[in-house]
Amino acid sequence: MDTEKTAAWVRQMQAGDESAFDLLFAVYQRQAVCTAALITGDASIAEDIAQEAFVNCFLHIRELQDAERFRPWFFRILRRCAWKAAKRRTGMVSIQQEEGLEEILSPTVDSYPSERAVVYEKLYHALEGLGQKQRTAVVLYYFNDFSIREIAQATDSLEATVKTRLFAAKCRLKAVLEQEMGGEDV
Amino acid sequence: MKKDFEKEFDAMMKQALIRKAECIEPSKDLLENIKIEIREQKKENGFMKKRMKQIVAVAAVCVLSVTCYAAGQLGSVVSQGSSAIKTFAGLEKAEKKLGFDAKYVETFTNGMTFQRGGIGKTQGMDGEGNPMGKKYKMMTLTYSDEAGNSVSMNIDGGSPYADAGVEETEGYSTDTYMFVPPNYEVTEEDRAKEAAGELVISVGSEEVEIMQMEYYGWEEDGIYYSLVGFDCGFGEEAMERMAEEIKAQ
Repeated sequence: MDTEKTAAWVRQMQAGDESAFDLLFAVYQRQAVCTAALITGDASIAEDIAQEAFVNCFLHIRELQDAERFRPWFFRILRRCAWKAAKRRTGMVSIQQEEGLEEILSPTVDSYPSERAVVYEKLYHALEGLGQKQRTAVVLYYFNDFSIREIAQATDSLEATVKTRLFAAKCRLKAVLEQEMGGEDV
Repeated sequence: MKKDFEKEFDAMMKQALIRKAECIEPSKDLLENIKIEIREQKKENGFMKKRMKQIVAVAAVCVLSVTCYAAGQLGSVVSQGSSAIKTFAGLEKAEKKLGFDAKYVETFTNGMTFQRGGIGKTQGMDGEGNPMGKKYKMMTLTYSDEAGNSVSMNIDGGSPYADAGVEETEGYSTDTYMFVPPNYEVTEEDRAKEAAGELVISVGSEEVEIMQMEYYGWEEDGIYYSLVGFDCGFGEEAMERMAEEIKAQ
């Protein structure tokens, strides 16, 4: 996404032109919902999380001092909402889960070569097994293409901490891939 | 070979996430739902603007004082909660969740009668909108009379303002509020009035409405009470009497 264009919309909103919110929403809505689903591993609550994040974004946009930093600022809000929602969900089992109607984030094996699809599923499954902080770092790094610095801003962490989390997460995830590549010299 | 594996891993991890997200599509109602929620939150939080103005004023004064540092860090205070409780008995049950004893009445002597209430939380926010300091439980009660006047009473278990070193004095104040639609273009004149403290502009109304807000706040045993009414025309004495009725409980 063009940072300058986003910053211009943010400034418009801060100046009182709230129509710019629709433009920001159009650009970030899908990324927001998907990120929420990937961080929590639960697509059923992702839209509620994104909604809460966009509402907070709208209500507090004037507090963002540097419009160029909208992306990490917005995803910090989203990340907080996601962690909060995940905490609320802990210990709760949805009716769908109880009845076995669907998986929280259903696997979709369709247009990909089957062997790769299996590896993708295993990698994703391993990601779900990580702690919340490591999982969030991985999602922001690989799915959202965030830099270490942006992840640090979005997670209220030091860059060194983000690096440590990513390193630890990647070690565990790589082990899964190595196992899948079975015996290849890596 | 290790470098190749790194590249392969990065590519596969990215694809694993992209693929997982392919099945997710935001609903078409999402934007509309967000706008509805924004309107509701603005109405709920509107009364807080007065207190936000107070903190800004105090912080501005404190710049001159070397002893004031905490107040400047507090940008705003946000209260969030529901008004799901429709009966007075239900409110009394909900009070148990507060963790402190709140004083309130079902009917004021001026005819204001309890209509609905709920519990929520109050939290201080820094200049960038990040939560700061303690989060307090709060209770909100809405009263109305036969003439259609409505008053809200908030009861907070603590005060982010007090935590920030700002003294909350008991008393009455009034402000002119202009509620405007999201697309409303604020005029230079409006901005000048806002800057002069003569007008508080609040976005979220269907149409432009100018209303007079009356506020009476006080603290008792560490519990913070505030009464807020719009266009009720009570005046200071009437608001103070209502406060006295609460204190007498």
